[in-house]
Amino acid sequence: MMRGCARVEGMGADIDKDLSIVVPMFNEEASLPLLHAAIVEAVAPLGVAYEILFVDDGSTDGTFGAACSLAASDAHLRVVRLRRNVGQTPAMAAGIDHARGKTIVTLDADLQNDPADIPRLLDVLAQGHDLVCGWRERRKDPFLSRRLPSIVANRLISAVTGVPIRDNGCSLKAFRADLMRGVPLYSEMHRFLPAMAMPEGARIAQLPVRHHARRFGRSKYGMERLFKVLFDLLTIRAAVVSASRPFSRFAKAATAASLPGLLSLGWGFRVAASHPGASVLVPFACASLFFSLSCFLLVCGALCELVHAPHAGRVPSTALSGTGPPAQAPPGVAP
Amino acid sequence: MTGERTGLSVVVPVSGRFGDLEALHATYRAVMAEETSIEFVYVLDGDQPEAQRALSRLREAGEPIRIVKLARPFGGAVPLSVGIGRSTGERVLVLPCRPEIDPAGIPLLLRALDGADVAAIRCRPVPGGAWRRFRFRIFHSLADRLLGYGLADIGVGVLAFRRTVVEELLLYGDRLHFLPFLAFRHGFQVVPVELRSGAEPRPAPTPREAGGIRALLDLLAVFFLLRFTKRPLRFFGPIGAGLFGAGFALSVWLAGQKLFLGVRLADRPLLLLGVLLIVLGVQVVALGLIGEIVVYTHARDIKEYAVEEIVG
Repeated sequence: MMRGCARVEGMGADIDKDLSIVVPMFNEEASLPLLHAAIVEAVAPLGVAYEILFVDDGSTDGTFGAACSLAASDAHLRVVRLRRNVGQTPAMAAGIDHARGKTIVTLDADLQNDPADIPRLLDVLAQGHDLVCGWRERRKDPFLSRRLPSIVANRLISAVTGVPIRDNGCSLKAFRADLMRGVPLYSEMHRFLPAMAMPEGARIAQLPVRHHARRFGRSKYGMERLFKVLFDLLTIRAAVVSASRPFSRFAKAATAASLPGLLSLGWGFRVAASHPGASVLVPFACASLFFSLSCFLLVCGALCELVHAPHAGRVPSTALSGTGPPAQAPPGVAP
Repeated sequence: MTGERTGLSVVVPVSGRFGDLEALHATYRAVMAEETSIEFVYVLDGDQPEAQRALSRLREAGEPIRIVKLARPFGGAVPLSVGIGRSTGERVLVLPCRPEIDPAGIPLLLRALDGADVAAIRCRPVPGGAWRRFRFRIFHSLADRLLGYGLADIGVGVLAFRRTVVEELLLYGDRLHFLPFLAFRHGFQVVPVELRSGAEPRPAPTPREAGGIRALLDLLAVFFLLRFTKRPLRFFGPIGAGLFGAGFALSVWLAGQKLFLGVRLADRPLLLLGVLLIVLGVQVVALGLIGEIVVYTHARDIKEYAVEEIVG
């Protein structure tokens, strides 16, 4: 499962399309024909070389068969079937890895996103952005069970990552393929895609998009994800946002841990001064515990620096790409 | 996954006590007579002149045998890994160097591989006394709980699988014993096959056999590997948060006593416990975070999906 450089193996060699529409799907047999028709209707008039990539994430219903019969009649459609259900993020990574377009648009298969919004996303992207995130303007979901947790989570994610994204849960996004190939996509990290793209130096824009209530099937998410999001956020904060300087972060934590240690020490001395002969074991033991934690955190920081060092020199993909915003294109080059 | 029969490699690690290899080879060969493209890879775990002589004789007699001799006895799963690495067949069958299983079951195994990627093998009856059988049962119900697949014996000495499985799962060392479980979790086709124990029962339980402490640790390692390697903080986080929370609550309670009831804290060792729990909690979370940073740093090389096929 883990293999060196697997994410680039056999991919990226044949980027011969302008646009790839990547749709991860799990048990969406009912919505497929509608989805396909809507995408074609939205994208075909653009007059670009495009492909539609359905990623069947180990569906147990007839999704794969339905997708294949659609692919038989549409040369633009490709179907990638995964051996087992791996979850939305790895499925999306599979789609991005197999996409042949310079620009990639991702959306959900459940028809909650409207493919008619794709041209608008592409317009904004063409104005010099690397990543355009949709946000669902009028969500058609129950308030308490879906929208409230989502609002809380989005606020939290924005505050922690420092990337003010209104709707991290919206899958409708458009981005430059070469940028996103540099972003590690694993576990459930697609929720934090904008934050993950920040170290790559992405220019991010947001656009309100339409949202439809679910017509077929059931939602695959519930309330319990808030808890997971909390630990994920800690990860994002530690690994992504401050990935460049892990030692300084741990050093700060070590300093914070030594403060109660100093307080305990002061307390111990005060007890010793005011009650001669009284036991001062507890305060001094507390102080030494906090100091040992402080040392532990410093060592952790050093360890992280060690792990991180071999990768520190990696150049973000934005810096590597030759495509700047059209405004900066030299005169004489057609947009 | 395709039904066609292609090259078969039979890997036999020769270590510890072994019986009459020539007779054993003849038995194995007899039950697999209908295989056209077959090779045997015997791996000698260290210097075993007697076995080497026997195998050389077979080789000179024209048997399709490769002999791999390890420089020193490694034990464990090393001979097995080396043997699999040196074999070339599309299907791999690992057999013991003692008549531990009834060879009549081998064709059954090969037939099972026709429609699947891995055979999950159980050997019945379980050899040994009541105590051994009891530990065996406990261990396997635990494996069933943790790994979600309880149909295979662990450490049985017989494995049957297609080469794609080991190539994709990157198995090494003692994880090989968990092959059916790992393959099942990765979406390969696993079929259960029941074999009968052979003429010579398996030797006395080794520390690594099902029910032993080592096997238990292996099981926990594989469980962790399956569930949390990508997200270590999801494992360490709740543990650390629990410890921290308990310590924090204890400390707050004691501080309240001091503030409102005037109880002196300097001689309350309970405070030490509170602080200890807080420190432990932070340490556990920090370890989880280090894990996450390691994963993130290498995440560009991680592929979490396996493509079955591409259409169009």
